[in-house]
Amino acid sequence: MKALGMERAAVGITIVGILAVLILPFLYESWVSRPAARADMRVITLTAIAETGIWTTEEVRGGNYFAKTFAPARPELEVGESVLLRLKSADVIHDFYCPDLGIEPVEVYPGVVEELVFTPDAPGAFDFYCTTVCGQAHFRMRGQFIVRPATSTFEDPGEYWLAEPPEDPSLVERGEWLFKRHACFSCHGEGGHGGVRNANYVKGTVPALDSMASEASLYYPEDIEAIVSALEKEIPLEDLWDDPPVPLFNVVLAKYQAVRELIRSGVPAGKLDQEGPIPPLVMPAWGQVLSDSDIDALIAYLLTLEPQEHVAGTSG
Amino acid sequence: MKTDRNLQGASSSGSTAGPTPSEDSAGGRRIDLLRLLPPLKWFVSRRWFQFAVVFPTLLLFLLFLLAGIFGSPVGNRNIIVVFVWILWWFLLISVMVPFASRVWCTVCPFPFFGEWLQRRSLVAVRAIDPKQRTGEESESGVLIGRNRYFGLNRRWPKALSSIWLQNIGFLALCTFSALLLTRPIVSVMILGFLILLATVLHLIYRHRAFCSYVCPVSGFLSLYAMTSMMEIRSADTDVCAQCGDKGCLAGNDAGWGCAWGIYPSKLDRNNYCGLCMECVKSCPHDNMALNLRPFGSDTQLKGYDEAWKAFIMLALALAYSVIFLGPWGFLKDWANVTESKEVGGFLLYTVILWAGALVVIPGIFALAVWIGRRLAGPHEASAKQVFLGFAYPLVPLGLLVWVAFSLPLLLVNGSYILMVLSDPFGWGWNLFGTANVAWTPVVPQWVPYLQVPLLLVGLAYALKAGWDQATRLFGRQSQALKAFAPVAVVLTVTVLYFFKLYTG
Amino acid sequence: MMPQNRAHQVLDTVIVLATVLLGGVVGYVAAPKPPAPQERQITIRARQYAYEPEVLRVNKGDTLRLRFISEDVVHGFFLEGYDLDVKIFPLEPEFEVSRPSKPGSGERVQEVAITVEREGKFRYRCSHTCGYMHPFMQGEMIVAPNRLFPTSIGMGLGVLFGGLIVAARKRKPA
Repeated sequence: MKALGMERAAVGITIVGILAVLILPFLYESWVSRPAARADMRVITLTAIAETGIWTTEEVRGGNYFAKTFAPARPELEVGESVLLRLKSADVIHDFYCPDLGIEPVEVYPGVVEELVFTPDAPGAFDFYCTTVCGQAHFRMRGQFIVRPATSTFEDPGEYWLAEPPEDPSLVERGEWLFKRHACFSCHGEGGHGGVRNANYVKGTVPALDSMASEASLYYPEDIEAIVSALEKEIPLEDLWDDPPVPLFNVVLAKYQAVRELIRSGVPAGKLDQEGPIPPLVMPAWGQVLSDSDIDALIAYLLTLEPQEHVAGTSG
Repeated sequence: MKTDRNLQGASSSGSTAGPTPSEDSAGGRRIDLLRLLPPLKWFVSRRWFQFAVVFPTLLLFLLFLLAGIFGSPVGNRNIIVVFVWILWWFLLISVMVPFASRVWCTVCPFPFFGEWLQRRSLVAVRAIDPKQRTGEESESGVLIGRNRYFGLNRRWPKALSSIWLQNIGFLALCTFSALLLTRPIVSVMILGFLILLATVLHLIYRHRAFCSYVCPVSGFLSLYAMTSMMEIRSADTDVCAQCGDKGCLAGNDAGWGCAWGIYPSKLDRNNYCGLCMECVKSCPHDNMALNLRPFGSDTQLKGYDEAWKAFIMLALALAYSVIFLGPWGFLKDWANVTESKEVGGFLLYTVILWAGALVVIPGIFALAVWIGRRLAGPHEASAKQVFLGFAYPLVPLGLLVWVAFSLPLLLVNGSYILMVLSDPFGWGWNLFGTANVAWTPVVPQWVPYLQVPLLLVGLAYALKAGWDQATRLFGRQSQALKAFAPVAVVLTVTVLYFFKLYTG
Repeated sequence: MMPQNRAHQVLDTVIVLATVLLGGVVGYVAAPKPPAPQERQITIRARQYAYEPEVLRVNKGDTLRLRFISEDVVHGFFLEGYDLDVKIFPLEPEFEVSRPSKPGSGERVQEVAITVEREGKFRYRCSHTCGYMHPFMQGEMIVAPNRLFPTSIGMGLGVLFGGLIVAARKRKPA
């Protein structure tokens, strides 16, 4: 066969060319047309379909427009998250209007992509509509943005049970590690701020542990420091009765003993409604796995916690 | 076989002048572009010529398929609809065919994969030099001439060796044109199917069977290429007579044999030559000429299939002018059946279209021919010869009718071309800054003033061509006049009706 | 080619051109004179994919007071030759009128008046994508006397008769 070199070149060009044509449009769309700069924004694409009267987040293409029944959109957003809204029409002129989120009517022309940016600042369900008669199904065309509250008190703690103990820790550091290692945060909240609901529990939610110091009448940092150092030196607090290192030592001692007993033996949660169900979240008897010195470490850590500033509306 | 042509009104076949460099043996003026433009000659003589011109259209075609599947379902914002049915269609009928014959076939991507498989090469030639055969060749494949092809390479069935398949195929396609021209996915399905079919047929039948006998585009290209101002012919058939190589048909080291199965030396009409330029490469005597020639130079229809193609194209021009360019909504609803759900109307429209194209219009024509023959009195030409001869005027007329019809499509909707250039998929791109160009019809109110001269020129050419046929077929001038008069009236009335549609 | 044949050809062409011209003039002159201009109030209804009236016949000089109604989706009304583009909203009493030659000139009105000073056939088309058959959605406004029509008929017949004359002329043998 003559001209083999040219033949090979032609085959190579063919393969490269075809692959390029098949891939480049999608690359361009992902990397260039929707710039990576928008990476910090949530991108929602709504496509209007006149025949069934819906806005959908599903991709509407030449290849599926006739074949598929599209689902109406109810996108879920978070308070405070920046949203890039891309509006498309698969057929005729529509108008997008979301008054409760402050979005004025935007004309959505077939084949054109309208973009706008908004940030929801309050949780709730916000209806959006089409405001240009777009066919028989027009008056059905409504969707909802579901905006969730922004803060979630739970952050994934990862594989806490594999956490390595700190090397040569102080008592408080050991207590902090134990708090994590035994997942006290999961009921009592990160930083002991509390908040997990306990059904039919007389106090409603699992108690916060961040006010332990003030509940023990230890108001000054040096007082907290004195008790912690005593515990660190493994001095039983009862032995300090004659020469108390802090004022109101009787309150301190009582609180310490109560908490120690509570952690050691656990306690079922009191019922709010006596006829109602048993509250499911029970303080476990940690004494089965924790030594007394572990419990002292935990108490020492808890004494260093400070309560969160309460913001109206958040639980805690 | 020399075409009987008659430019001066003289009867008898052929002129007395012998071939000169600027005239062919039938007395027409010819200018060989390959001699006139050496760079052109160089280009078409390259082995990589076909690849170079086809591959870009293949890439575009694949892009269009992608756009139809993944792009916006809105037709006028999708590159497949805008580029194929507005731009390509207009260029094909108004520029490519009248000026350059079947040059679309030169660049068409449909046979790309099939021919690659069949030839097992993109640019190279597989030929066996008889002087070097050792008798031990064991290559698989079918030997045709000196070329070896992969695949079954069967002969195309004789019964289907006409353009009837293409006539029916084109009518079928056009019955659904309301869907084809507006929904990207329908274009994908049809065009995708055609390229698949072409590839399959290349593996079963020899040469370009799809292109020659199946492709709907080929059907009307074959007819209107007769009017084209360009042709490929052998420059001097005496050279061919003395040639022992016949590489143009049998293939040789320099090129494949004609992919259309034609013997180039006998090529006397543009109809079935796809301008692939293989013959230019394989001719050992450099005897192929790419000629410029006067409009309407091929004047002989050779079969009823071709005549019916002319009727079908006329019927479709009429139908489209009424349905798509007309104001009557109920007709559009009938054509737009999947959206309007008017199945009864669609069936009625289909029946009227097919009956009109295949029976009524040919019937009116046949009646006019018959009346003419009766008026002319006894004559030697057969009924078939007269029918085919008088059907020929529909070729130049039909071409110009289609140009007139296509003009508003481009002028009114051409701005979409700019839009989809920047945003081919309707995804919100703006590659060249023209994505948001407003829909801007270009002087639409002047369109009728452009259509009228086009149709008048078409009528003039048709009457002239018909008259030439008449004097060729009938001995005496008065006889010819009587024979042609009814057909001339039918042609004129047809054009007057188009005037009514376009201007009244 | 023999000089006589060329002269014949040229004369043939001249004859045909002459008959075409003659036919055109006859057609032009024979067009009926339209009645006196009047004012008309016309409500144009648009639907997928046609207008009502499909064909609007008016006379040169008429003043048309146009109102628009859409029966389904947003449609356009682009009138050739009159620099008029209307955007029609369904179920709304007002529509948006603009001049394509002046982008951004849209205003919402309940009626728009135009005076048809130009004769001829002017199509009105939909200018806002309204569905699949949008590119083919059109109607026709025919402004009498619309002399292009009879002129073209005359010219067409002129081609036929010119051809007859040319064919009937005696020919010298080549």
